[in-house]
Amino acid sequence: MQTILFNALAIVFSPMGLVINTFGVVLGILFGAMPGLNGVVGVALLLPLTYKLRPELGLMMLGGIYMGASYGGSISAILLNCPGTGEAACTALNGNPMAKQGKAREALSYAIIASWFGGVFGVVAMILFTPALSKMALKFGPPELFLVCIAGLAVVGSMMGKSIAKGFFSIAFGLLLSIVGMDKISCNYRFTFNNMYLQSGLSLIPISVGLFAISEMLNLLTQQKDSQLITEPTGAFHARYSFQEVFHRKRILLQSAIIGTIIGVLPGTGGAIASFIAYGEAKRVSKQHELFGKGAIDGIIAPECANNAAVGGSFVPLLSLGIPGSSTSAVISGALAIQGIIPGPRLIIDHANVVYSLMFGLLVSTMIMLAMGIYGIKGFTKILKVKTKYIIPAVLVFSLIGAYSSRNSIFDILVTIVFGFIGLLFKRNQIPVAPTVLGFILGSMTEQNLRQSITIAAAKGIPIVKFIIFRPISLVVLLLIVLLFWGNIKMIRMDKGE
Amino acid sequence: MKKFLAIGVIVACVLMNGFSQGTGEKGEAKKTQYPTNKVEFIIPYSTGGGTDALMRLLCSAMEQETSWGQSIIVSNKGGGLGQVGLTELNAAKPDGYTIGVLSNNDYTVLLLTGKNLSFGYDSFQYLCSINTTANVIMASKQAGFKTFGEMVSYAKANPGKLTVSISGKNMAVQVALIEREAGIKLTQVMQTSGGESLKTILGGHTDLAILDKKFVAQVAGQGINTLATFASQRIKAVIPDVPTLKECGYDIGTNETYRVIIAPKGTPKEICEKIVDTIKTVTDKQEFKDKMMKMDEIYLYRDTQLVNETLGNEYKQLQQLYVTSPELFK
Repeated sequence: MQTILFNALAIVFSPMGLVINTFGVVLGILFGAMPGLNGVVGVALLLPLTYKLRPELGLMMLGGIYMGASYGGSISAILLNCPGTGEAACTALNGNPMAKQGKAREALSYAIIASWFGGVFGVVAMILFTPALSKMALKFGPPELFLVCIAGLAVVGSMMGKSIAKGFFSIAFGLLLSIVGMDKISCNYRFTFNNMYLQSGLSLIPISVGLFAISEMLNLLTQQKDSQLITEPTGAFHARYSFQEVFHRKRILLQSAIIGTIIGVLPGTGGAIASFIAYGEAKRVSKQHELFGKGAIDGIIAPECANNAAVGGSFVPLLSLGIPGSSTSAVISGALAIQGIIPGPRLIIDHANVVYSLMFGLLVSTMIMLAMGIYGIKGFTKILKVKTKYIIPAVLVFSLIGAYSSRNSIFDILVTIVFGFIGLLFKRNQIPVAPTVLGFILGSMTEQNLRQSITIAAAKGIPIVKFIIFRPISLVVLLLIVLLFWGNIKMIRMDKGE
Repeated sequence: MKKFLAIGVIVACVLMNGFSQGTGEKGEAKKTQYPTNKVEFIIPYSTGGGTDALMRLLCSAMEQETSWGQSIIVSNKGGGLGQVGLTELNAAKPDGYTIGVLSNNDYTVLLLTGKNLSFGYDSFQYLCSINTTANVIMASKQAGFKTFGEMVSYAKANPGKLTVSISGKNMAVQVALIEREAGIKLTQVMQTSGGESLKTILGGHTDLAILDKKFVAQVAGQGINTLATFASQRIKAVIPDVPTLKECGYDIGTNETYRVIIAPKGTPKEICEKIVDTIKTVTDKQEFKDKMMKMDEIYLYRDTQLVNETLGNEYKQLQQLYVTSPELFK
């Protein structure tokens, strides 16, 4: 045991280990920051590189990419209002307004510090509680997961903007989009209009890149002013104060980290859902909830903390059961398979060195990420000095490349452009786009789990409502849903009262 | 500067993966001079699955073979039981610079039930296959069945009560065949992937699950019993103690899973032979076989003739079934 631990540490801290880890994190941050490219694409693209490496090193590099990409999305979300992935969609809601107030550096520092804390929390939870957490994950059957999805959908209340009707319209649009393609339960096609590409469904990256990044660039284009993007940061900036500011908010940090880890552990979910739920919950308990959408610090910390906590969480079911917790860890599972390492209960017995070096490697990744993030702030904000006539084509090109590379599909480029215009239409009519992405991410999951629950309940002869609700975990999730709804109603009332 | 360099690297990666799809010098290539350029290998599934892992192993082994000497670009085009990737392969120039793979059970079911297919059974050349595997049926700890017979007698007494996790339409056909043969009724619960099925059976949310045999090792020691395998013979290498369905008294035909390396129709014979020869050479090496074994894959090489016979027969049988009992495919 001790020799295994020692060997793992020796690999992690070997010069090669550190170089590869840094390489992974830097690449991950870049992948995350480019609209359209994300952790899944990054890990899939670099997969062939790992064949030549020792499994420990290859896995460490992929872990570093995953960790870095979960944070990287916040950079473009804050500076350009272009979150390329669902994970950073919530960050943009407050990060970009804050940057527009000339506080881009502060916003970036909150994002990296929260990401770091979340990352460390998730990995430490994975190291200490993998057996317990994986047992918990198995308790989440279709009924429980259905309720988790409902809790996620309830978050929409916290990103409505001014009009409730427009918020509901937006989420309904997202839910509708999720129906397109092959119905995964009955294998029948829906809304596919005899188009082969629609038959395999729309994918998240083209939709979110179109709605967020492309529409933002189109919006800038139509403003006909060749100016700088947003106000350049003013005043002095000290990272030290940011640490104080973030760690002052213990409750938000801790609850977001816990939500992120647990959602990460649940197979089939991922960082995006984690950050949405953490965002909604943060708005509910935040002392400054009236600032949400206008540059609330809590609104940056919560989603960033949660999506990095989900990284550690998503490795739990992969390492202990062989079931990937997210789409990125599914690709990593493929990387392990090629090395002849089969994830599952025997992994820790047969390949303890690989498991431990992944665990410690991820901890080191968070440290590298923190250093890069803090020291990078100055560099990242330089982008604000670049004129929009250079920014717009660059972002458009990267967005389209990213949209293409997620499924190697030209059709997805078309989808991205179409959604760019839809997003512009939404913006012009003050319809929020984040609920559409939320609805799209959760739509198919909600439907599948509900329909599976109905099938199982019918087989067991239990009424469906009773089957879903009267289960220990269901009751806990139900409580969360009630709290979220109640919080939303309270907020709407307060807004009306103003 | 560093940042630009990094961005450059990324762009290069993306381009390598995507746009540089083997545009070999057409026509001019001399008979023996194949490949003279990089070859695109279409995997009609997304990154991270079983077919993906095995084919990436094969491609990297082929790249290292000196007589091949060209790089192979793996491009994953997942979606619709493989329809997206196969459509693209069908549309590619038959010059050997775009080849691919398919998984037999998905493919035959897709041919019969897919909508708006731009290809048919005759659209591809089936070159060879290198592995074999089969599904098994497992019972959850809570259900507690030790044998297939126990399960059948319970199901007979309680029609529709037992739930079975499946992933994919071909498994729905397999379950329907079992139901017909054993005279029972099960409730199918469709999952999106094998991992999801595994999760539901480990958590006891469903009573039974149909899964690939590789999952048997993953559930070891957790109270899950593997009742039977769909293979024609016992899979001695991995699960010697699991009986076949035939041994249990229920013959629903063989149901083996394997991946076939394919090329679009019209690819010159010499080129096909070169591909097959290279695959034969690299997979014949002990090192490759060891790697496959580590991945829990069973090595079984089928040459062009054999793979055409096997796949063709399977397709014919399924076609007959589709005509006589279309309700099984619902």
